[in-house]
Amino acid sequence: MFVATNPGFVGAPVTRALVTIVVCLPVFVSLLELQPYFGLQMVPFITAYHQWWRLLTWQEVYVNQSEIIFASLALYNLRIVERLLGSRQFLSYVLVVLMYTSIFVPLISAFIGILPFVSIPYIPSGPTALIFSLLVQYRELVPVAYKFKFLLSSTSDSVTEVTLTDKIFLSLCVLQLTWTKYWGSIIIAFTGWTVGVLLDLEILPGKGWRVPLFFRFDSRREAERIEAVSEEEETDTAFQRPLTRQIIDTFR
Amino acid sequence: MSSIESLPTDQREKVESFVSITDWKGDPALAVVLLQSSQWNLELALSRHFDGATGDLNTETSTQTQESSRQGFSPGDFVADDDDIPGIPHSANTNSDNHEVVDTNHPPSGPSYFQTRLKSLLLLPFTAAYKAVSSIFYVLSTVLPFLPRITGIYPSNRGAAHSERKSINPRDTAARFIRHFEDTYGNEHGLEMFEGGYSQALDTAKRDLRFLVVLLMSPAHDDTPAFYRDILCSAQVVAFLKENHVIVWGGDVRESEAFQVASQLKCTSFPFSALVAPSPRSGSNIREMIVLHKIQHLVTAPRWIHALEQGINGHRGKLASLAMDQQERDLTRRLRQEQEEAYERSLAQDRARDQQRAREREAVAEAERAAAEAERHKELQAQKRQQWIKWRAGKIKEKKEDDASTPTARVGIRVPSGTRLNCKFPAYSTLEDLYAYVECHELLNGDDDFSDVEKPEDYDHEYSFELVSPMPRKVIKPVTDVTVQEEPAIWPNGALNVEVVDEEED
Repeated sequence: MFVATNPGFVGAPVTRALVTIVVCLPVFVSLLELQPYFGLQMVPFITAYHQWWRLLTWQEVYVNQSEIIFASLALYNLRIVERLLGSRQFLSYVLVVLMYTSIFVPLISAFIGILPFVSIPYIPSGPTALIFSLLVQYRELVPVAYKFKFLLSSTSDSVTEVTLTDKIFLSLCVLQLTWTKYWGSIIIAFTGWTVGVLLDLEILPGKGWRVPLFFRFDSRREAERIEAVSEEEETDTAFQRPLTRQIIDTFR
Repeated sequence: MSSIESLPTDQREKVESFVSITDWKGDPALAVVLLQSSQWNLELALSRHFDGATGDLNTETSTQTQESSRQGFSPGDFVADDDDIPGIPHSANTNSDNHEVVDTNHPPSGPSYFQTRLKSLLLLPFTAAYKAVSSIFYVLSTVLPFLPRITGIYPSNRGAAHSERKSINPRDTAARFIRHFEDTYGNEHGLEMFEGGYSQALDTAKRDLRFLVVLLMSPAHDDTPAFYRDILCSAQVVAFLKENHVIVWGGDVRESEAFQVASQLKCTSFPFSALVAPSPRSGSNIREMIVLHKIQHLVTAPRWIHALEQGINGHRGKLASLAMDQQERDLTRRLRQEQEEAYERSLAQDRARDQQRAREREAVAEAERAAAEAERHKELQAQKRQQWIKWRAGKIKEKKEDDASTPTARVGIRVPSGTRLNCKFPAYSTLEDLYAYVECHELLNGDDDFSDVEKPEDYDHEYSFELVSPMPRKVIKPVTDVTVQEEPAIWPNGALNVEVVDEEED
């Protein structure tokens, strides 16, 4: 959709699982009316009730339909990261990021709470931080396919325009997640992004860690990896599509 | 600077261009020294200057110039201008970057040193504030890499966290890929990769009817080093690829081109290898490139080879038939070409023959035309001759009537028919008149009046006979500037014979 890669979840089982969780879990949650158990509000849940398990669960589930839509859309497009990294590394990355954000987001919100005249922000539930750290990987790994200029205003003597890349579409889609719960979402998004960058720069340890005993998560047998192409594909059909076509294809 | 003026012309030009390129503000002698230390290599000097090596250079050059002056290396103004040469390190002192470097060699002179220190002490709060702000901005722009692009302010390059990959042409991209591979895994494996873009590789494979192996690498993937090491560096694989004349094209999916190839080949996991080969399109002789095998993952080298071997062996027949087709096409094309050439040759021969014939015919026609022309000319000439004779006869008659008083020569002329003409010629009449008389004598006897006959135009009369006086034999020429009087053979009387001259032209 936003990323030129093979459609479907082939080669991206972890992403498939993530999307499934993001889409299906809220259904169960809302059917069983469990929404109050997700979401992190330091006061009173932690301070008064000492519900420490909330530190682990707040990233599991979105409770807002628009968030679900955008998150699943973003995750589906971010499957390219899993394809480029390999499932094992991707799963390790996801777990590391989840661990760090589980720690940092409450810490940051608590730190903000210490500041005078500011109440502790409500931390909405959902893996927004994870998606933002995946966006860092997307930014690092995926090359720019094309650039285009966006005309902001043009008067007779000056033209204001910004040069945008094809990555802006996915970025805009992900950005939707920051607007749902105002401060809380922004904190999560910023933390997720920063954790992604710091992991990438190896300032935070954990980039080299791999899920132990990885039982071939992709479950594809050796024989299936080698694929004799039965229906013969053409390869030299228009290798590079024209720019307008590319833009139109983006919205298909 | 006298030192610059004393330099040879080419060196002076170099100094001038160096100063203009670098926008040199300092002492021109320093530029001379810099160039001199670069062995008058302009590029080297420029790169040294822009790399900020001026500082190192000062120590280097100061020693060098001392050396050179000791050795008498530059015998000209360089030694004489003693003020300039030791002045170089001092003038460099104004450049604060060079300061410490120069310090090691020459302890700085007192006042300027303390001034600088004092100034830096006074400016300390501002410097510190600037450093703090730029550090914060640097950290921020590291975390949020899009920040500099939006604000337009780029932090000073501190070891460059990561640089944007510039899009360069496919050939250079391929070269970079190969270089990276060889740098990391050595180049004793002997694997030759195609140096060029993907589409170039496709075209080459299509044209030469070879198999193409497309390798797509994701450097971030855990299996990538293993793939390089176990498969691409394996002697078995290299031998296999060489044996089958396979073109190997590799790409790093961080590059736009390889990424597009990945999406085109429907690649879902890396490291990815695909076997691509030209194949005839059903029902036409257009070749298309098809994917025969995809290997999406790390497998062992024997399995990798086995898979490719299967693909190659399965497709070899088609490739052979394509090759045969091509050969056939080449053959027929060559045949047709030869036929066409032969045809052209015979056509040219025919044409030449036709031309020859045409030329001959033309020549004949030309000759005929010339003959006809000559005939007509002759006729005309004869006609004119008749006319001239008539006209001349008229003239003679006129004359005869005019003069009876003048003394005359009596001449007897024997014409070839045997008759003898006796006639009188006035003393002033020319020898030509004699001839005219003989020519016209037949007409003169008659009473015909020729006074209305015009002299023919464009006609010079030539007499077809000669008048000869018999004893002693003397030919009298038909000239107009000799009168009868002056010719002793016929004055006052004489006898002449008419001898017909054979016209050789006939």
